Amino acid sequence: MLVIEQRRIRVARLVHALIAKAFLDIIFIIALVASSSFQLFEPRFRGNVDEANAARVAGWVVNAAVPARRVEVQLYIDGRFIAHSVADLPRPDVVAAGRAKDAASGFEFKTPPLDAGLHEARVYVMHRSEDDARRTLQLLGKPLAFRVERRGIAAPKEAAANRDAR
Amino acid sequence: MGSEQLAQRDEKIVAFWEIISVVASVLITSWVVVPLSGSNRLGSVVPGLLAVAFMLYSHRLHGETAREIGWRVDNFLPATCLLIGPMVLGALLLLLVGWVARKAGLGEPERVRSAWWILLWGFAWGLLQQYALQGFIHRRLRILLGRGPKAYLSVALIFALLHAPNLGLMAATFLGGLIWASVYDRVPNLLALGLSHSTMSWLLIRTLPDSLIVGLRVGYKYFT
Repeated sequence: MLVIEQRRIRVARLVHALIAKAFLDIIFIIALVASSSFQLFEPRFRGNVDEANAARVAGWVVNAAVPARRVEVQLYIDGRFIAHSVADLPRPDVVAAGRAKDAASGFEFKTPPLDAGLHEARVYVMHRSEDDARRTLQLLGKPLAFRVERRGIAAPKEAAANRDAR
Repeated sequence: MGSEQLAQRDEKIVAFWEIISVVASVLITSWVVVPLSGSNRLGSVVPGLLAVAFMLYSHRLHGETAREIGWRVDNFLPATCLLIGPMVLGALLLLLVGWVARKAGLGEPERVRSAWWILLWGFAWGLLQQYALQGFIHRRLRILLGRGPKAYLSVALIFALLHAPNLGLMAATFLGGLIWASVYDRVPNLLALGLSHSTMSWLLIRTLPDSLIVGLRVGYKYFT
């Protein structure tokens, strides 16, 4: 009877150990996933695409985690890569509005010649992991639609609407 | 159901979950930690340490001594004698498969890893794997299934599963797992098994084209 009791105690202790290990495994996985998410998909980019038309696409962006580091941005129009740039143009209005501490946060792309019709501009922020093993693109603000009346000429209403959306 | 049967049933259930727990640690490392931690190898150590700590605690509760588990030298020679035959056959099989694969245009074996690799890193790694596989998983499978072929087969299947999705390596580890389990059952000596493991790994690398064993990569790393 004593032996049976000892075996029961051993089983109970093993069950406790199994539960503790499973708990630690889960905690470790959660910590790993959270840490990797921050490394792979930096959530602290702040910015906006202020304007998109047949002449230019412009806005601002900072990395709130490392404000002194200039942010890389890429322009896509209608899903096609157009250009790559670094957001380092002066934007005192952004600092004045309290959205960034560093004025060198602006970017501007010259819109390439486009066919007449409706187009969509998307600006992506490029994020590099610490070891530069992975690079991810994150959409900045919302996609902006704009109309080109003739090849390379913006429709006045669309340009005004984009300015109002700022 | 009597109290003896109840105790046995509980021990079997716990043994099953003990195996699952250790296998899960390996799978977490190869499928979750490796892709998420990237070049930071520190993260890979945590599930391994948890598994080792759990195995040590389990041995203590089961009253298993290091000698019983196979950390001993007195039966090193008998264990080695039992391993020599299958190892020679395995080596001949590897040479044959390697020769056929090269003739079939599947490429050349990897030439990077040296004899030092097998002596130092290979042996330590093989020993650790054999400890987890035979010293822990096999011993818990005995509680679950009893001694004999069923336990050997289960050890081999688990060992192969841990090397997924590398099919070439899964086949090799299945055969190796069967042989090592049967030898461990008769003469439990982890040092001899570790030496056999590292020797066969080295032979595998030196004889088979890399297209078949994919640099011994397993889990997520297999696809990289």
